[in-house]
Amino acid sequence: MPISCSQRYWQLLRNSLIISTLTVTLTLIVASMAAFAFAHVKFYGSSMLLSYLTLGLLFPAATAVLPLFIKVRDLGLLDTYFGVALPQVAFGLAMSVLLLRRFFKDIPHELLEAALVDGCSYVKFFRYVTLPLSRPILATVGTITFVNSWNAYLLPLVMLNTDALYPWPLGIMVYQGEYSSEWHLILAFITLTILPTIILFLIAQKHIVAGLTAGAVKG
Amino acid sequence: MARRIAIASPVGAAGEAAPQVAVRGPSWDGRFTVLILFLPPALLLFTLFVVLPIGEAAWYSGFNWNGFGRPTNWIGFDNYRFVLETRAFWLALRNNGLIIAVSLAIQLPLALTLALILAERFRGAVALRMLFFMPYILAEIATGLIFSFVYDGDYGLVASIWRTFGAEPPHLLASTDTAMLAVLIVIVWKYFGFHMMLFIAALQGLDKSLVEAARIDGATRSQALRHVVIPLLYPTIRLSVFFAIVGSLQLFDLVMPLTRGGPADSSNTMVSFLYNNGISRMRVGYGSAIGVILFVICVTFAFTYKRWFMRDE
Repeated sequence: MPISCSQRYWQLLRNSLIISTLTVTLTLIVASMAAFAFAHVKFYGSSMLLSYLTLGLLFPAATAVLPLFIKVRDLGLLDTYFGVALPQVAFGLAMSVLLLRRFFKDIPHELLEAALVDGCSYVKFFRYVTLPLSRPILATVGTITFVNSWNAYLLPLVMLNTDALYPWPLGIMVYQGEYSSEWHLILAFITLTILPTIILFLIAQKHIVAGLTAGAVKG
Repeated sequence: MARRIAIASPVGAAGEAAPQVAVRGPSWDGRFTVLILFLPPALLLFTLFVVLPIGEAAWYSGFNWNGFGRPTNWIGFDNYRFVLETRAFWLALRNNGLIIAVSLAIQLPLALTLALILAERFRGAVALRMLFFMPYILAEIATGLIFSFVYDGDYGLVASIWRTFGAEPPHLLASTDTAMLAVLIVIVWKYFGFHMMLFIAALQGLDKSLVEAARIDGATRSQALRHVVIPLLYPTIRLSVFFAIVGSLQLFDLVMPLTRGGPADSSNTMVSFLYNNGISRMRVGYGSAIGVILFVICVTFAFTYKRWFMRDE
């Protein structure tokens, strides 16, 4: 049976898509809110909290993956999509908040002051001015988060036990284990699973390159 | 209505005290609401899934614990001693060192050279940049599997090249002598495009008039390159080195499909060593100790590097 028709292939893609979508959506919401607070509200401890968040840039998720596993288990999230997505969001936050904050800061402060004076609240300003003006950076952060989550291996490997929930990097490793030297099958499977990434890259290459290099420069 | 009047007054040079008093009251409430609504989700997620686990790793590393029930069997620093006494740990550390060395000695010059060529405008330059960048966005797992096919001693590309010369093809990934070398080649192939893009981005931001001035003053092309362009790229080079080192310290996904760290631990990285010895056997205390060691290495490195080399950024 051709791989493209098999239930297995579609299930892997579906799982990956669900986890990545969850991660991207949550990252964009949570990070843009925090970035807005850091960019536009002056408060005591602001810079301290920001450097607290940027600690996340210093070490890889792998260092604490065992306690993370136990934490996710204690929360009852083991073997769920959220058990993978939430830690992914948490580890992507530092970079996302930094990128978004830098962009938000460039929105003229006079705009905010004028809006506040006219009776607009901070929250409304965020919703109706900041977010619509920030589409390019949101697209960039969203794309990087998506690619990272789509390609992720270690976190799903630790957090998921059920085959039916596996995203494609896990599934393809299982597949390789089953058909160890039938390379034509494995290569076909790989081609089919990296196809979405390549298509996304061709569509969003500007965002990906800009985001990765800009994010890097600030890292 | 009062607020509208207040904003108008500074235009009339009526002094600055009045509008500030009028605005501060309501806007502080607004600011408070934003802080209460907008900050907690991020801080909570970050604390719960990033900061606490690191603290807990330090705590768990004092126990002999398989992850079930509560940790009770306190053994102090024994886990660290066990880690440091394992030969495979030092092998993994050496391999991380090798990756860094290859990144600096081969990958970085390669990326820089390509960037200098491809930052110029000519037909196909953009297409070539994208082509070289492609491996970077390819999933590590897919890359690893593709290369384990390339290296396959029976069916792979390497095997057919060997056969055309009439030699018996080697099983590169199955020998302790060549497995790490094979992994290193894949690492360079996968990541040079990213560093190249960093350099291209920096080159495009360079002030061209500096190079032109040097050329007018009689510098040859290579002199201008050596004495003007490269020094201007130092911040980016330092950054690229930083990424190469941090990336090497967390390398895992690529190793798994290629060798799983074997044969005989010869191609483990720190993280695959952690996976093979801590996670897959649920030795929480031992694995946490490895995690803490890795954490200390990463943080020490990041702070020292920032202090020594990236003071201005």
